[in-house]
Amino acid sequence: MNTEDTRYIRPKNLQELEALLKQKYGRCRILAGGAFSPARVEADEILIDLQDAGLNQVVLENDTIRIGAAASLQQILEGLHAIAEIREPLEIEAGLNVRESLSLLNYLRTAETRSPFLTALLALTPEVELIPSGRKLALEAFLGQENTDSREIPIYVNFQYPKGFAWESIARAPKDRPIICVTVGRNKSGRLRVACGGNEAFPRIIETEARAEGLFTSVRKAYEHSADAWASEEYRQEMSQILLSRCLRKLGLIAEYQEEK
Amino acid sequence: MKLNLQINGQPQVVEAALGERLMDVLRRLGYLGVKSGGCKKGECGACIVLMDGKPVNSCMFLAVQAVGHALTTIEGLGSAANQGWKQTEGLSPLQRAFIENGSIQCGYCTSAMILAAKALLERNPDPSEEEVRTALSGILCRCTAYVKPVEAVLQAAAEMRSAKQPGTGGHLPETPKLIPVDDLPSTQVVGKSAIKVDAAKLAQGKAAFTADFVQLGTLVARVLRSPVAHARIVAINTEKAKALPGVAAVLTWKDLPRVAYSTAGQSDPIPGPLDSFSLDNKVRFIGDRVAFVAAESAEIAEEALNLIEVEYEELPAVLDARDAIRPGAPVIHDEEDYVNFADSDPSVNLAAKIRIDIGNVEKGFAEADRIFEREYVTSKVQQAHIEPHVAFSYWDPDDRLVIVTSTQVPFHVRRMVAPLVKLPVKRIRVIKPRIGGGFGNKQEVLIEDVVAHLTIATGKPVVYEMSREEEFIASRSRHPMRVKMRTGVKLDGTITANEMIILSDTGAYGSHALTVTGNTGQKSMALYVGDGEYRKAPNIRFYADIVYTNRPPSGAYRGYGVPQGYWPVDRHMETIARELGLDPLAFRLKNALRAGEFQPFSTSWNEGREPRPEVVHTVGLEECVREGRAAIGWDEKFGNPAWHEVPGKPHLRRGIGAALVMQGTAIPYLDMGGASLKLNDDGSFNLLVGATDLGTGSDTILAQMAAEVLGVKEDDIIVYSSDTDFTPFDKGAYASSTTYISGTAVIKAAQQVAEKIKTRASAMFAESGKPVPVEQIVLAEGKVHGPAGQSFSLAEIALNSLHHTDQEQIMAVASHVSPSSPPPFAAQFATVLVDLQTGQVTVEDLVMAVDAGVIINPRTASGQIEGGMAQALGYGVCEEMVYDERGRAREKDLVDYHIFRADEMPRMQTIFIETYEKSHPFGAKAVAEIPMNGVAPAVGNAVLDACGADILDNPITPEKAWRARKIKV
Repeated sequence: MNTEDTRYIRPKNLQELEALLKQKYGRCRILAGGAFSPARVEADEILIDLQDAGLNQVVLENDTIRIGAAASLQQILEGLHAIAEIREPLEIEAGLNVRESLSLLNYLRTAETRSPFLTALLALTPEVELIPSGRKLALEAFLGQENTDSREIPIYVNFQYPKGFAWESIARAPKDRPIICVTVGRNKSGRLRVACGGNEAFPRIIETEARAEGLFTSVRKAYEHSADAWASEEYRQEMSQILLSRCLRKLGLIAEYQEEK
Repeated sequence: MKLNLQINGQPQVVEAALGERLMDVLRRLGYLGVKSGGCKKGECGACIVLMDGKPVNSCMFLAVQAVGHALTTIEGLGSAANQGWKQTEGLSPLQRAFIENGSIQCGYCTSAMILAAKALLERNPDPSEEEVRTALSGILCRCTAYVKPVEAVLQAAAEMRSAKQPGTGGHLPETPKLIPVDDLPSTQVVGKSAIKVDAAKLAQGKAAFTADFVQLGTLVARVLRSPVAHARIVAINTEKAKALPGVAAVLTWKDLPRVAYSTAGQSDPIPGPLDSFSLDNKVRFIGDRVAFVAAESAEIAEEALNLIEVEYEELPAVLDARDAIRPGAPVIHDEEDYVNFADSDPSVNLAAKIRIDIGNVEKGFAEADRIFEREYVTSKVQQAHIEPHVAFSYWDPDDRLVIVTSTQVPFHVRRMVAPLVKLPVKRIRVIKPRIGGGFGNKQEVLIEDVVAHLTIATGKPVVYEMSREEEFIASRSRHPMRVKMRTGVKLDGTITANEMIILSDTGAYGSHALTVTGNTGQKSMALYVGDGEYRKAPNIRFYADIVYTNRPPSGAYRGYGVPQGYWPVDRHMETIARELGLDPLAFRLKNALRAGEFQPFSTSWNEGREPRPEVVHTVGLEECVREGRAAIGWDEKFGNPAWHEVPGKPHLRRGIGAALVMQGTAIPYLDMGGASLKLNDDGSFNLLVGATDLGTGSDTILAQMAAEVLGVKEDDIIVYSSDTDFTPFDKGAYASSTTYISGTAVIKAAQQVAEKIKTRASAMFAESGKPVPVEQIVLAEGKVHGPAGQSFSLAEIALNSLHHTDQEQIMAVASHVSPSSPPPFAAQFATVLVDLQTGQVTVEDLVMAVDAGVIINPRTASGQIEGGMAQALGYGVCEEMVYDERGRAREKDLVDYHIFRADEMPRMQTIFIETYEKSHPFGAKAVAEIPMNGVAPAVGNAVLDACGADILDNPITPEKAWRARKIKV
């Protein structure tokens, strides 16, 4: 690595990264692979590039999957090959070269409610690990909060290897961004978590333990006031039931929930 | 800062700003195979490079992020083998395969595709088709439907696996199925799948496109665009913007001459109102021009835009065509200097009006047993060419303004820009390099006046490239229409009268308003004339109001109004056939136009000029139906319940549908093309044409036709297109006219040159003691031949004429305008899979059987059909531009505006049914636009067949199909 400009830094490991974040710079921007956002570097800005910081891996540790913030979407697709159903939302999300370019961190910065991979991920009860604070928070809590001048950055997204995972969506074309997508994750204890994409700013989440009413009813309610230029509220609500049914059928759970439907 | 980059195996020390993108740095270094799609956020994939062997979007990375990585660009793959005295290893197998199998149309995404394929083959030398499609999935191509690129990758992989013998030429895949016309004269070049004359440079990523020729130091232009749909500019202050260091000029309406014009690139006189101004004190849609800036960099220019202070007086906006014509509607064009054309009336927001009555329509309705009446809606869609609009201009040493632009209409640009900038035509030169796709959107003068004004203001070169967002909010699109169909039919299926009433939305300006909508009726309503007595005297009514709204302007888009016609016409025909219990194909053929009959509209309509009745001589429609239905398996599928069901999946249902369509071939008595041809010392020829190849392969087929006449190979014809200083006039690439009009001009020039060659050869034979009369001399195999076997090579003829005896330059200039517009015809078939629970429609097969006359080059022609079907598929199921209640666009990028990717395409098949059109020297008609017309209605009919969903407005979205389905599970 040889650049003359001291405003560009590639930490070699997490410790270096952490130390950098604790220093007092002016503005600070984190680079992690390719970005959707326009590049404009201010004179007082520091660029910290994560590419050498050891964060571009997808690993399984004690039943926990850890996705580094700098891992590309293609690395994630390959790293999560055992979870077959996650391939499709990643392939819909972007073509191969964009998947090779785009890191998880930058993806999360731009993902929104119709983003298929985000909806898929949210069903897996993901947790974001931040430094230097060491905080951990649910991905849904993190979404929309991070800004590009953050001194507290995500380094991993972690989730337990699921007992089951299913994904369903509806779109105008096979690789079009979905109008609505529903994913169901099932953890080791059998608890279900449903992510409902295609409404508001980010996908809505429903957990079987938290729901006060039937799962189908909860999912339908997740699409209240969801009308936009892509679909009506009625359509999304009706489709949410179909997609949930299909997910549950894939997981072999439809009989369990059929009655309440 | 200095960066150590490794590019194509070579270390390079590169000077770059910290925030500079990898794409920009590579292009600055001369790696021009890296293309900009105007998005800078990875939407199109044209900017791909390999980083450590993996394809990445160079627009998404800063250059500094590439330090320490091995970069590969297309320039690192291979180059032409013969470089004079220096021999290279030649092109890579991938480059050769792309060239040989016709994968390259506009060529803008070719480098990216080849690089992505290289990455694939290095890790997987034996990929499946699906794996190839995945590898290409992030590179959007608007021309090819990915059919031939996928074949090329598989072909190259096979070659690399087996022979490992570069330079073998590979294996040429089969050309599309072609049913030839009987008794055609034998040809040597015409009718063969010649390799495109410009393919090699595009496969190498060489400088070819407008942006590739911009010189360092050229000022960068940006346009301030309106944030409101309708407003007067009360005040505009540019002082802060002008004061920004690096800003060279800021122009507002106060700075420019006020000249009313139309942006439509059409022949003189423009057949539409003059309602546009380079800059105005009023804005009429979100995205309308407010001010121009030229600055030393894009960043400075964009910062300057933010410093321009504009005070708008907002006016009520009209966002629905139905509202535009209501009494008391806000008037969008209230300027006094608006120039009317024909029936335009800006006081009631009317850009154009058409009233055509053929025969006695009311009598026809009175004689009908049933009258079918419905209203259909077609959507506003975007051309979405991957190369954005881009132009640059400069003063040459003779104080002539040179405009280099990616345009379909260089001669119209010159004529139309001249009054805007107050220069005579003779002081403007327009150069058209390679075009990276246009599809009609570059038949507009949208950016040339911007750079021209800024060059005049600054005295310096200025470049302007539209962003992808600007393409969506501020360029042109297909006219959306509401179409009322009313058809009278006898119970035996005879159509007695047919009526189409259109309300068309031209948006804020009336470019192409009259002619696009006229075409809607002329090419779609002409197909069904009725049968029996009605065939002899068809009863057809076509009325249209084309109105202004405060939405972005509509304009020319491949098909030019005809796709809007066939959605209602063919959906309507399907409905009638089903209601009457008739076979849908037989019903259509019973009433369809036949050879020897008048094109009914030619008796009543000629784009505002005097009608000139025209007989249609070639109609291959029955053969198209026969071949198409066999290819799709119509007889096994249509009406077969077993085929419609999907075993084990009761929520899925298959459907099959068809549509018959026609188009035109050029505009009779108007479209003119010219060609100039000269013989060189070695027996080769320079062919100069004003025609513009926007990826269609027209330069190649023009070379083929010239070669056929001159008895040489097509690579002996060096084609140059186009430069208003050097090439003859051509009206440009539109109206499916290049093969027919420009091609005939080329043939005429070649015939004149051939006669001159024969005359000289006769003299040379006489001088050699073996005289041969001119009429007995034949040109073939690069020689002139006498009947007794005597011959001279063309090089000998050339040397004789240029250097030895009675010296002269053997050359000719010719032009052509046609009195006819012979329609191509086609039968389009589709099969779909419909999810009965969700309404999601998946198109599985598209088959198109086309009568386009004699096919000059089957490979390039089939590429046109495949690419056109892919665009039309988007029109059918997913492409749509939607606006909110304030006129703000939903679609501003290629994410929300979805165009089909390589990994989601249906199976496609193209079949050519040749007919011999005698009005063209080789029997050709047009092929470029007709594939746009049938896919959407065929898919609509297939959805109806699958589940009873009778959808009247396109595109067929899942919710529409879900609401309309009759079968529920």
